[in-house]
Amino acid sequence: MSSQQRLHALDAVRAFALLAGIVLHATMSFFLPIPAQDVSQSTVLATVFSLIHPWRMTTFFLIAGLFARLVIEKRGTRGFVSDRAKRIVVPLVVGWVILAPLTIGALIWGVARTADPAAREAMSAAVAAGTGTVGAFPLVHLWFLYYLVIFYVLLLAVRAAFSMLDSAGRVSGVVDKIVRPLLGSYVAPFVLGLPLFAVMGFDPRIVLMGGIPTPDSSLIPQLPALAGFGTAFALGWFVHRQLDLLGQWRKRWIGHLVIGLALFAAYSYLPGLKPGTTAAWLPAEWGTTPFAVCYILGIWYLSFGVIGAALKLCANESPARRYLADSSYWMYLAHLPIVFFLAAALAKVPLHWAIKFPLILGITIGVLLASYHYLVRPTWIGEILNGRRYPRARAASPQPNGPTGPKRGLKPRAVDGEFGAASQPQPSDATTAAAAAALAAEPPLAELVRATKRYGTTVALAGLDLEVRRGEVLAVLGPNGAGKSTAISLWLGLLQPDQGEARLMSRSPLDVEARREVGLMLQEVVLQPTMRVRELIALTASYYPSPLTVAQTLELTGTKELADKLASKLSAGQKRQVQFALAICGRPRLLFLDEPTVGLDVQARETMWRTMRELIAQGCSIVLTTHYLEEAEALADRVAVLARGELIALGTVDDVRSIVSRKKITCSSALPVGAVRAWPGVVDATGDHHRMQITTADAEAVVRRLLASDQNLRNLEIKQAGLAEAFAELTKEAA
Amino acid sequence: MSHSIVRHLVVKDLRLAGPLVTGSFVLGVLSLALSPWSGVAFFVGGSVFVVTLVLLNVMLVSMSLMNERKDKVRVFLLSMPVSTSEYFVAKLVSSLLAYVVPSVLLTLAAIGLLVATPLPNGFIPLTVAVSVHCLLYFCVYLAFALVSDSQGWMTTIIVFGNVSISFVIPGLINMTSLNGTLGAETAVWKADTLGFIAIELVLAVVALVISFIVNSRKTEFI
Repeated sequence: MSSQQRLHALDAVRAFALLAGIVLHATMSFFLPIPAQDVSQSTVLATVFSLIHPWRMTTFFLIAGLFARLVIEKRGTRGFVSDRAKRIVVPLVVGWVILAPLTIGALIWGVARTADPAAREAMSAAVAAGTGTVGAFPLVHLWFLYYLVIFYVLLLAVRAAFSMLDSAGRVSGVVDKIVRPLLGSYVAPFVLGLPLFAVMGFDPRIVLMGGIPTPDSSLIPQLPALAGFGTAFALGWFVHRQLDLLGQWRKRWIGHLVIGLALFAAYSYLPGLKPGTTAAWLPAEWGTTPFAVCYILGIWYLSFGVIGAALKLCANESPARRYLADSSYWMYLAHLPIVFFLAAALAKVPLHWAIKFPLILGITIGVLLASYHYLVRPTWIGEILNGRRYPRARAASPQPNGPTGPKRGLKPRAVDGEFGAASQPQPSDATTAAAAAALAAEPPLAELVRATKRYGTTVALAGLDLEVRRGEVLAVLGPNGAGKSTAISLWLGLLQPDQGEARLMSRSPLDVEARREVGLMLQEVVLQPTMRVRELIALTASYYPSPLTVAQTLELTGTKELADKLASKLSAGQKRQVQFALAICGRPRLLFLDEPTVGLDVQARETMWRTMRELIAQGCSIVLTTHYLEEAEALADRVAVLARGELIALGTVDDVRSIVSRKKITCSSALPVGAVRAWPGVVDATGDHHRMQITTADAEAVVRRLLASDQNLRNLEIKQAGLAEAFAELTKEAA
Repeated sequence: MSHSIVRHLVVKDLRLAGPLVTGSFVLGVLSLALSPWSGVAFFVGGSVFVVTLVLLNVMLVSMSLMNERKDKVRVFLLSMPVSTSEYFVAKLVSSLLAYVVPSVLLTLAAIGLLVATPLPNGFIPLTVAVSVHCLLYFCVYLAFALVSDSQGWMTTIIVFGNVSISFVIPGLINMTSLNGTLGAETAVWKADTLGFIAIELVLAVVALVISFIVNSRKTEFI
């Protein structure tokens, strides 16, 4: 999974956490007297609330910690402070000035409208008591920004301290070593829940408040919020140090969700949905601890499940998701006065909650989306909140903000200026030119478009562009680990690219239709030892719509004498022949052959080559991976050389031969290197007058000119570059 | 989904599993034949009966799925016009057939033996419950093998599955409903025995359904 995909997924899950907050606040009046006691109470919405509440802010702070490190890495400490001041502190201060009075006003109106006098008095008394305490301050729902600021300050302080005391990063290294196996298992929540359990495990407020008490009424940092959300923030930071760990959540998302939901069922059942009660069958002396254990574990399992689900399901860029992700910050900031106002206004309306709840949600989201689209996204407010302003004309179609520059690494190497252009067929006359043009006009049988594939931190393919055309033999060459097998696996749909696209017969390789015309010969496939060759061919042919008969296959591949032999009795070379027969028995239009002639004797190899040529003559295309260069030379129309997942050379066999036929001239000469480099026939010239190295495709002409131009030429040496040497040179450059 | 492809795959798997299924069936019959001769023979025969079901389970799944994956046969098959759902359904059907048919026949044979001999018929509910538990073990193991490539997970399932049998049989024997009725002339079916069987069957189905869902979302096969 690429880092860009991870960012898409994390952006999506952060937005999901914020938007879930809107849903959560919209449920409140249907089972709590906040902001108003609705006449239609709902256990369903109480359940929705208690399902969303535990993981939402933990997930948010976890991702905030991860992005905090990303921003520090990208912009440095000073840039981080400036960025956070603009995007967190400004919305906190300005937002509070505008939103807090509106929210509190809606709340007071709602309570006044719906609560009975006794309840009103009790709430007034509670508010009065609260305002008398030190640090009391109505942060309303913007408390999360306040805590973010606290965490950022703590983070910078701890970071500064560690940079002085532990410049070698030993402590961070130890934490990394702890975090890795922890997240690689299902036990992480037991460890991550400890700080919060230490603070709240025996505190009855955890039941009364339905989880971590919301720290929205005081400027003095509250211990439960610091413990719960601080752990999440710190975890996010450490996960960013080893981003591949996200793969663990991606892999276990179903497991985490299932466990989280089971814990949700448990913590919902233990106290019942009425706050302050406990299950009758539990020993009284256990108090609220069983609830606390289930709840705290539930927080983490659900958070991991949600993040993992996003990594699994939202990795690809989606304009709609991106738009929602951008809008979610604004929507969350601005939603509460609207939700509270609507809840208070509708509280006494005699309609069922199933009508009122969607109405509140629909109106709120509609107003917020419209205000975002017209008042925020294209204006300076959007620039503050999202870091960029979208011009009105483009506002509806966001552009990806990821890097779009040229891909890293070597470009496909041009051999004598032919590659690229040379990747087209090289006609020798008008007829073949026309045929080549016709072929080129046909869609490729298989193509990879900027395909990237990673295994953990290893890049197997890095933005590979490669296609296979009708009737051609494409030899894919490269050292072990170059990405050849990965490329073929992408073409066959056995792997999916992290980025880019793989197509087979102009379809997705996962489409069975695409594979009806494909044959594959793999090196390592074990033939079923208890079956005879004839049976193996018949069985394989049975999967294809119009296969060759067994007799035709045996005839074509020269394996008639093996027909009644058990697979277990075949020699290594004979097994290769049978595998070849299995690959062609479906009458493929495209044949993938992986090291087809390894272990074959000369006669069997000749037979296989002859069969391949017959298939090519019938219009079949072949993708050939081989370490035998002479095999590629004998069969291939084009050669692609891969190294470290990148295409480093692509061209016809003649183009490749031109590399092979190059010579290296070494000499001591007074001639300027730059001037020699400009001579016809010189591919490159380096060094100085003590020792000049010239690479040329026309050694004789260059030597003649050297001798003519410099009477004092000394130490002349000419060396022929061999086939293996040329490829070693190519792949060495890429290494 | 092509029924023809699924049929071909099922026939192939059944053919390959044939010797194992036949061998297990013969071993199961021998274990039953041993049982009526004495108390010790009954104990040994019963144990071999259970071991036969476990062996068939483990070897069948290992051969049909894990070896096929290790030998790259799955990659080869999935590079052909065989969809993942066809492959999954074929594996499910062939594995279930190869396990369920002999295990049901052996269980019926065991019941027949209890009915036809002086052995107490009170053992019939226990025999059925143990067979159903072995079926659950098989379904869970099969479900994991269908979705996971991890040898470690497979080993864990085998360990837990085998250990579970060691707990389930004494647990069933000590269950109030079975405890007093094992020596009875007639089979006594009580609610908790039936409940145990029903729950195990439901769990078996759930395991397979979950594996189907997970498998249908899978896009990488190497």
